[in-house]
Formats: sequence, C-alpha cells, structure tokens
Amino acid sequence: MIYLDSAATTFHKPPAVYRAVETAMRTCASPGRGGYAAAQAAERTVYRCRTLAAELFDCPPESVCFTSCATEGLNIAIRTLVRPGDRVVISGLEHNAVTRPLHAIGAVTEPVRVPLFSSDAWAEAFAGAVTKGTACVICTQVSNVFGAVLPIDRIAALCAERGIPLIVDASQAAGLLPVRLRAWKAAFVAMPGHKGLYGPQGTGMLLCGRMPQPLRFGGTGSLSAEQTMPDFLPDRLEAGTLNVPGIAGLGAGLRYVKALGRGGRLADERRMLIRAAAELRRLGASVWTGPSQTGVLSFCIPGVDPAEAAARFAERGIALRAGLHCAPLAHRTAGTFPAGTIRASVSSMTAPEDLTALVRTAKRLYF
Amino acid sequence: MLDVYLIYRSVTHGQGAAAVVQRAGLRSRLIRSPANLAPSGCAYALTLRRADAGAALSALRRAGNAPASVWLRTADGRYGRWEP
Repeated sequence: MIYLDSAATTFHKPPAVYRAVETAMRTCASPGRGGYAAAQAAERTVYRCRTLAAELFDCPPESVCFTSCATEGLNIAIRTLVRPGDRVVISGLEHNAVTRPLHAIGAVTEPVRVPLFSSDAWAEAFAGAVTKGTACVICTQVSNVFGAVLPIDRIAALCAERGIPLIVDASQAAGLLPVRLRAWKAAFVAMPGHKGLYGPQGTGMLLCGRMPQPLRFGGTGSLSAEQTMPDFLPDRLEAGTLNVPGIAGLGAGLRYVKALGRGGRLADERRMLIRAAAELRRLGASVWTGPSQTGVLSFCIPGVDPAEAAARFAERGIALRAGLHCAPLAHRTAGTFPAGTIRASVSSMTAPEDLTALVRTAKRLYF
Repeated sequence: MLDVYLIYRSVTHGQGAAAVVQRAGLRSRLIRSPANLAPSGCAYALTLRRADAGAALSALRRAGNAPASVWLRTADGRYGRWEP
C-alpha cells in the first residue's frame, strides 16, 4: 500500500514506537495506584512522556493532560469556556471536533472566512471579528483539509492583548510546527498523539493554560477520600486508568520528533507536495496550494466525484481520503462543499516515489 | 534510612519533586503515602535521608515544588511534623 493519509493518522510509525508499546504491555501495571515495581514502571513511563511533551510544547509537565484524542481535549476546553448563547469566533477551517461541541452547547459561532493561504488576511479578519463580546476564540493551527497554516502567533497575540481566551487545535501542527502554550498565553491547546507525533491511535494531549472542567469523573489515585475531583492538574482530567501502552508509544514518537527536528521535516514534506501538486495541475486536476502549507494537498479530478476517485486509487493500492474530511465548514470556506475533495497527506515516512505513483496513477485513470 | 517524608498530592507532582532532588545530587524514593499522612486519601511521599532533607527542601522551594507537608518517621514507627 502507498499510504497518503497521514493527516488522518501516521500509519507507519518509527520502529521504537512499536517496541515501546509492547514493552509497556509486558512491564507496566496501573500508574499512580500501587507501590510495586510494575506500577512504578508505569508511572515512570507516563512521566517521561509528560516531561518530554512539556519540553516540546513550552509548558510545565503538570499542564500536560493525557486524553484519548484531540477531540476529547477540544470538548474539555470548549465545555470549560463556553456557555449557551456565548459568542465564539472560530476560523472558517474548523473541524467538527470544534463545531459540533459548540453546536451542542448552543453557542453563537462566528466563522472567520478569508482566502485559504493568506496569513495577513487571516490575521486581519480575526482582528476585526474579536471584540469585547467574544467569549472565546478557537482556531486550528493548520487546516486538516488544505494544509493551510494559520498565523497562530499573531492570533494568539491579539487574544492576549484583548483578554479573550484562546483554544488552539494543533491536530495537524503538533510535531511539525512550533506549539507554545506559554508564549501564546493560550487557555488550551489540544492535539492527537497519532498524527505528527507518531504515537498510537487512542492517544492525545490537552495542554492547559487554565484550570479545566473535567468531562470524566472517577478515581485519580489522589485525594481519594473526597468526592470532588482534584483541583490540580493533571489529576483533574485523568480519571480512570491511563492508556499506558499508548502513552509509552507516544513517548517514543515524541523522542523521534525531537530527534528529527521540525524545520527539515516541514521542508521535505512541502517539497514532495509542491512537486506532486504541479504535476497534478499540469494533468488538468484542480489543486489547492499556497505559500504557507504543510504536507496536506487537496485536489479534484474534473467531472469525477472525489469518493469515487479515491475508491479507484484504493483499488490500485493508493490510500487517500475523500469527501468532507469531517470539516464541512472548511469546504464551505473554500467553495468545495458538498462534494469535497480528494486529500493526499504525507509524513516523514513518505517517500517521494509514493507521490510519483499518485501522479502516475492519476494519469492512467483520468487523463 | 529514608526517614523524612515529603508529601505530594499527586504522583505527577511527586515525580517532579523526585527529578528536582535527583538533579541536586540527592537520593530519594517516591512511594504511596502512609494513610495517616494523607487525611484526604491517596497521596505520595518522597522519602529522603534526614541528612539530605534540608538541602532537598531548599532545592524544591527554589523550583517552586514545595511539598504539602513534611514528616519524620521515628524509630518506633510514628510520624511527627518535621522542620529541617
């Protein structure tokens, strides 16, 4: 299989990730519950991952709370900050992980919509939309559909200056672009563990710049005689047994990301993508590209439904994602709703030949 | 003998304290706290030699990670509040 769906999950992981998961399953019991060696091994495993994440994402270790995915983190963050009827400014590129919780709460959302790849336009549009009456700003750092990079430093500075809490969805950015809880003065930053951080599915982190309201209540291995949840982090959000094998794998993924460095990887991914985009465009495909973009490429074959096209690519062993990518708002913003697009997305595990195969197959099938 | 107990409310805070003490070149061990040192239930104790406790507490205060309470375990197995 030629795997080009890394924006969904990085299917191919560094070998150390697989090893870490198995080692944890064989050596770790439940962390924070027992004083015996296997429990302590679990505690060490979890703490190593937590401190590494804190180092990479500019926050204290206690502010790193493990979740099952970015969606869980976003739900916690949104439930903490947003009340029914609140006015919330969001980017026009948000995922359903943001828009559905807001809808469920009954918030009034105000999507900011500008041309996809214009950093200045995004910053200016946010500056116009965020006012005294704004309860909260929620912004993805990178679009999961188009790979467009939003000027999050500028949006964060704006929120800090106006005293508006900011939630950042770093799902497509973590591991690839700087993520800085403290520097941004963000209220919360949510991310999955299984995309650009190369951990297993079922892992994620919520970085907390303020005290969250828990969604899950239960045992934390702390203050057990009391019936209220602890008022300190990370325990407040970590009721129940943690996914220790997943966190072990995530820790190995974080070490890999740290060793790889961000700049080189982003440049490699962009280089592969730009070449493929140019060739697809030359063939006659519609392609969405811009100056500030990660390794995510949306394209369409004229006259062909994206889902049908992706199915034909899959028959030839090429894994792509078609449709709305759980982000109908982003497609409305780009004018690709309701059919959506075909998305190819790469990681550090992608070879340039994989994209050559994509272009060659597109040519054979449609041009 | 590790007879001074620094009490932390959460395992993560205790681990952070253990890391600070290790960086200070001191030996410690993180254990589940005895119940009578944690009236709200389930806490963690960073245990140290009495000779190291003063230096450890200084390092922890500098790092902004002071314990909730400090106890000394006496030879008869009782615990008493302790100040270095």
